[in-house]
Amino acid sequence: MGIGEKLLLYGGYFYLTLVLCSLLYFFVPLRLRLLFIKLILFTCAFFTLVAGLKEIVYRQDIEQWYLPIPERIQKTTLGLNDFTNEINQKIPNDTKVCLKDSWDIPTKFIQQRLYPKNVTIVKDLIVLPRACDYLIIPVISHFVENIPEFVLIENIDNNLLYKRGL
Amino acid sequence: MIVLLQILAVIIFILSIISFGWLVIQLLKISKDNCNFAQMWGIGLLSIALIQLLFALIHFEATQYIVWAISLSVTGLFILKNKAIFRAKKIPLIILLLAILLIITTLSHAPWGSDAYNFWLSKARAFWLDGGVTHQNIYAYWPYDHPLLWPLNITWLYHLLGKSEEFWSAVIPIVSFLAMVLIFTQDLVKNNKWLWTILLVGTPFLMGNVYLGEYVGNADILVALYLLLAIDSIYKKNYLFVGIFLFAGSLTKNDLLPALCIWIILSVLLAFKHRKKTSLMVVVSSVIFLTIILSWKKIYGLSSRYVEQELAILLSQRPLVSNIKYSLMAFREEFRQTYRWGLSWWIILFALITRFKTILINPSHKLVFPIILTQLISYIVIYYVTPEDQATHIATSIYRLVLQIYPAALLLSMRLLTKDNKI
Repeated sequence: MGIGEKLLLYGGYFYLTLVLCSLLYFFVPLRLRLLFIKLILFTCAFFTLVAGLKEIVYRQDIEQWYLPIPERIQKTTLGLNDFTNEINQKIPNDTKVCLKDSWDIPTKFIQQRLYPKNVTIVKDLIVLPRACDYLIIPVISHFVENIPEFVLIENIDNNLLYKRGL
Repeated sequence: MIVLLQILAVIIFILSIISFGWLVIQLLKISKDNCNFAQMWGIGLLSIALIQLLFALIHFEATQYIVWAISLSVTGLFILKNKAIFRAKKIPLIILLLAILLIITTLSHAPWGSDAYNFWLSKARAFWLDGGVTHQNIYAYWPYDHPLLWPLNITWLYHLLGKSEEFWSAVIPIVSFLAMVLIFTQDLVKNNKWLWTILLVGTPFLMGNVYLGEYVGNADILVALYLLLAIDSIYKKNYLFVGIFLFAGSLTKNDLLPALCIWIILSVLLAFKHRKKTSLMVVVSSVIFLTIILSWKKIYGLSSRYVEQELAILLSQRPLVSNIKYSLMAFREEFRQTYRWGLSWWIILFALITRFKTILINPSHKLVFPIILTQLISYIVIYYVTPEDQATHIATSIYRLVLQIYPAALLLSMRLLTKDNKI
């Protein structure tokens, strides 16, 4: 890789303009320096504000502002807010709960909502620990799975709670 | 009706934090001038965390009634003594518009971030359910050594709400962000201050830490606020505040401990130079703050996951120069991520290059620059000794670390590039 290509790769317009403007600054006459800084500051502020507003404007969840607060929460948490409130009353504290590992956030959300219950995270549903009294399968797919030895007792927005066979 | 009651609880929560801040400043008589909103907010958050740590120490269980009683009495006292504050005051239009925009965008959804539910909000809920910090629940969520200022303030909010509703925890980042903007607008620097404020306000990632569900549960914005408050206090020559804010920042995240340590060294040098009683007070208080941090970790048997490993083996396995070079390259790359920072880092670097001579001459810059530099160096050290894979650790955290020093670095560059500053 040539020196020019390396400079462009590591520096890019960001660092190249930075070096150029810094050098230029020392050649600008003293009486014009404040104006020079103001010009640079204005450009940076304008660009940054545009970048910031662009991020906000394209947020789709702003539309949820018109919904009642419980619905906003329910939508963000993929139904887990109501689900955890409901199952917290159904699962006694002294039982062992198994939680199917979903992607990070739902798993952690359920875990914190079920505190101080004894929650074990399970990676698959084929070899389930024998000690599981309850099994939770959070938002994974739209299919309700048949789990041997377990009975489905709660289904809120496809968040599923199973209890070991009666 | 329930939502209205929740909004009332949130308002009482915000007022109680400001009131605590005001009360502590009045009791300790630590402010030279009239304390401003950002200072009261920062010290208020610290006070609420310390009260709960004290409760835990004397095994006193916090309940909803106690929290309401304490909050209402402190707020009542604040309102009685500061009636004038509620009379019509000129609020800058930009702050008002910004507050409305932030409330709408942030409260359109609940927090939904990995770190939030991995530990921050999870710890808050555990403390709320158990009535405070215990030797058991501090080990409920890894990393155990994370400080507790952020979760404990959410716990206080949960007590006022009567339930653990993560949705409302977003008000703390909203107010913290507005406090940052107020520091910039209320600063003594007259020239171009609105352009600098726009630069701060417009920064996509800083704002994103308030209104994005992925980040609103994180503690980094509080760390950024505390470092900014500390740097602002240096410029206002309120040196006692510097130690307090760095202490509060270190109680929010361990990341700010290097800044507190370097401040102790700087304050010793300052004491030797000035030879005044107040300078000695600054040193003693900063040392006490560091001792408190080390003590609470000792009490709960917490260590650092970076220190608690076979460092000798780790260091022998990792080539020093190439690791540091990799981290430096990562920072170089991060500064030019314009979709996260706009052109803010461009102007910060421009100020540092063109006005570096001023840093070496000006007494305030001479204190501020080493603090920010120490923070940056500490991040590189952490990336070197991290038990995780270096590249993964950098990829998942560098933007959050850069956020911590960003507002402080912007304030430094504002002071450097403004001619009529009154430092």
